[in-house]
Amino acid sequence: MGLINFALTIMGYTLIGIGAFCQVVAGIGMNRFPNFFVRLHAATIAAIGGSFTPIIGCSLLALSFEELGAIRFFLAGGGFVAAVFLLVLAAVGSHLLAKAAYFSKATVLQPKAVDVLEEDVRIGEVHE
Amino acid sequence: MNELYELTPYLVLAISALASTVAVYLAIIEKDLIKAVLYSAIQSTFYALIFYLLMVPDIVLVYIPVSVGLLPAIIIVAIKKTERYEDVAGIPKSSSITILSLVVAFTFIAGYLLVLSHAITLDVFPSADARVLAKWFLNTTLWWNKMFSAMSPEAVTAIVWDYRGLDTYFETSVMYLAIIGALALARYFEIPKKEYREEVMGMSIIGKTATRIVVPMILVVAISIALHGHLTPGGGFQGGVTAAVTVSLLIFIFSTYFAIRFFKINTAILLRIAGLIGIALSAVITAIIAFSTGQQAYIFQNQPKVIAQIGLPYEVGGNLISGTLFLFNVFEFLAVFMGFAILFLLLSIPEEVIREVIRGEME
Amino acid sequence: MIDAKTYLFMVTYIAIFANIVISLYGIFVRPNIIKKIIALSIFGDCTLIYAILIGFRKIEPYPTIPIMTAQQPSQEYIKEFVSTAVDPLPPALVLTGVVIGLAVMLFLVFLALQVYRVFGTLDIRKIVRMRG
Repeated sequence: MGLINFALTIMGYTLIGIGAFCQVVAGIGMNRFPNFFVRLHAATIAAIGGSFTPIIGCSLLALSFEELGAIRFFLAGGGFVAAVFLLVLAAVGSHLLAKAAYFSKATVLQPKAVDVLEEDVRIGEVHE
Repeated sequence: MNELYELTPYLVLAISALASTVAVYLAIIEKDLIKAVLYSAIQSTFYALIFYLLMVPDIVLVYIPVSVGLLPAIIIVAIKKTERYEDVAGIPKSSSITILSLVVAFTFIAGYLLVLSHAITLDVFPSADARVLAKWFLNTTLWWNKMFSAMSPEAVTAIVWDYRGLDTYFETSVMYLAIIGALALARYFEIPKKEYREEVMGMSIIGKTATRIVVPMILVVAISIALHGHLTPGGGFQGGVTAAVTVSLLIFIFSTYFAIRFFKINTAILLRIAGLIGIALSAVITAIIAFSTGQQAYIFQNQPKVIAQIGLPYEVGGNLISGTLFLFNVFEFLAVFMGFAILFLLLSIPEEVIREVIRGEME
Repeated sequence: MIDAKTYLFMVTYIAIFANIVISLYGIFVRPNIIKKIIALSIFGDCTLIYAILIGFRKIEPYPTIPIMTAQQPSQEYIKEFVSTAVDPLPPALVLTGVVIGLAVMLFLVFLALQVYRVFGTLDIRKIVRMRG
């Protein structure tokens, strides 16, 4: 039992550390990227690497912390459910943001090499 | 090191309050109204953190869906139907400085009187002792002596529906009046009968699939929050606003014509009236039972009192249901959910339909 | 003189004061009706925060929530609960206040939309000139 708890604690702390690192990287990226869509990639790094991973880490930590008693299973369960929600909905949200920003022309598309979506809209495969 | 650990909640409290001041300043100064709404949503997140640190989790459950989800959505729909930028040219600087100094003076006087009221009753602010009324509520919320107790470990729900049930009844009637006012303003509007076509209307297929998975989960979580309101933080109001998020999700991701399939306006009005009748009945059910057997009772009575020895059971098969608190939570969930569904559906009627009706009315 | 915890609590208090001042300025001076509605909702939230701040308690190390965690509490549990729990009356008042505040804000938004449909603008100065 002690070994499992120790392993869970180490994993939990590692995941929280990865989360903190991802948040810092996302912050630097938001400042230095040139375009809206590349900055959206940095924001999704903050949402998944910086929020989903630390919540999983906290749930593992709660599972290993035996002084809480039986409550730690409820805490870990709630944490895992919230993490799954975040995982799905952050990706969907950034997809909808990118679609809205492209079709409402709210952002300038510089520097641009090739725009495949424009040709698809002209053909008629994608609607707004 | 232990000192720093004990100081952390107060430190986070102070930092959140200062950050919220920055967000409020940016929200008021901003001329682009959509950015102003976003800044006010940031301020609401900091306020939710402050509410959590002040140890009132019931309010966090109500405040986050309302202030970060429903209210910005409503105001953004309103901005889309009207103008986006506000026109600040032409406000004379002298009058705005006069108003600002008057407001600052008023707030200082009000704040000074507030701090004085603390100094009269308790010692240094915040004090380590609670008021006598608070101690009475905390002592009697779950007690073996059923005469004075509400038989629910949740002191906040017990106060909302048992100790001060009449206040909640009148606040529900205020919400009823607001909804009647909105319905009266929209008396001839109807959502036009248009066919919902899957490929052309609404957002992309990724958004629609994710919403189809998430919306039943949100409804289940909302019903669960409403049902366990007498045991842990939760209750009718919290569940109602969480369920109202599903209506706005359906309207934004799919279209209004899809949401109409599930929530017609008249059905929502009927269900809301059913919820309100349920609340009124739960308030007088003890009185009805008492009068039909020849005893006396109060209205809003939950457990037996000294001169009215009749009450609802607080336990069913070993599980605590706290008498009328359970019934109140269920009916209030229905009433709040359907009330916000009505208002969202009325808000999402397209502007062309409304202009036809108004042009007909004004001629 | 005063210890660090009371100082930080006072900083919170004064920051919420600043919020009230700025939101009241927004209600009185800014001419757009939607901006007034946003500032009014911020003002309402600041008042609710004050109600909760009044009920707070200074316990070492930190007070607890006003919700019992035992289904059949003993005497000692109740005594400790009463001596460390936050006041439960302010959240009961704020709870209904938030939901009713949302309903009233919705009604105000309906009124603002009706004003726009009849007058064609949301600027208060122009509306006053049109009516008079």
